[in-house]
Amino acid sequence: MIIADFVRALQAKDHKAMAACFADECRLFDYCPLRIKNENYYIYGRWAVEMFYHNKFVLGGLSVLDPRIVDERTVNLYINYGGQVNHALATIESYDPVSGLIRELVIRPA
Amino acid sequence: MGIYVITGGSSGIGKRTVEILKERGHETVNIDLKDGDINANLATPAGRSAALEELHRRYPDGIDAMICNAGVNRNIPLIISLNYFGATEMAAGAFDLLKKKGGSCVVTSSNSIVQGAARMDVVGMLNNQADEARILELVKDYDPRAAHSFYAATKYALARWARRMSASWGAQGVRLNAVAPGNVRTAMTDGLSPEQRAAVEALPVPVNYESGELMDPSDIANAIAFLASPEAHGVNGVVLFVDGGTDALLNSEKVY
Repeated sequence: MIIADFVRALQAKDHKAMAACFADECRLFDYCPLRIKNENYYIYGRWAVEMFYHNKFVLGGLSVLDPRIVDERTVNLYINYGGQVNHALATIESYDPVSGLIRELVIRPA
Repeated sequence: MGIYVITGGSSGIGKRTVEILKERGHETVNIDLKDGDINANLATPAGRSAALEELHRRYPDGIDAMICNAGVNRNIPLIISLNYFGATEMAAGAFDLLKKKGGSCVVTSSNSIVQGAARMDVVGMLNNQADEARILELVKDYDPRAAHSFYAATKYALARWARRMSASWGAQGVRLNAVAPGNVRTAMTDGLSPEQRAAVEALPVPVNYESGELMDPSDIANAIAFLASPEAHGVNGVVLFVDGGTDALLNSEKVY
């Protein structure tokens, strides 16, 4: 399951493995940062996913805690945004029909 | 052709800017600690005064541009003195010369100003109670490992200073802008430790992502030359990010 690959990459703070879960043309929205008075994340394209999370894993203190895969589209997890933890649901909204990679993933407050 | 004055023109971005301006036929005046057309220590009030005095002696009829580019990223007191006071006081001290020719001023900030690293208390002191001696006394015993937060603070304050002053200067015929470079390949980035290198790499430069290269000094120098030129007549009070898209990657929602 690609959701398992996604979770493994998050846990390992591996930005390249994380980006490898996504189609070239994709989008990742994260609606949790606003809860801690930061801008939400709106990331377009696999390269941007790779670069953005490289920054967040190394300099932004981003990590995940206790991820639990609910089904092939959803993971229930805690996300640590540099010291502030949000309970969240990450949901694969759509897949690329050819590659089977993630085309859209949305992270929302749980 | 114009008379373009630049600080910190002996190396890195400044050196490349001088080369580009000369290629375009301009007269350049490099004010630097050494190897300059005017040698002066811009980290001290006396050095700044001497440089400004010499500038006025040489160019009583005015200059076309003042590019305040000199800066360092190590030694906290030096960061404060050179990056902020060495820029703002040289710009302000050359204002009358710029006014005579309807010139422009460009200061070199940094894209680190949007990465949350800047000590905003220091930014406030610099912008609002700019007493150099007192601030230096306050920071003299700080842990040198905190240098980056002071570097970002001086560059933040410098950009804000330019924004604050630009309307009044613009109304008097002098434009004032800032460039905010990303991580540039210069002497400052050549000697990084592995930890510093890892931090630099975690600020990806999208236009160079495949190669992993830092920004080239020419990338920044061309932007500075443009902002300083008459072609940028309509541009005033702008902080121009020249970072290959790093800021847009990390702060896509901030459009203003």
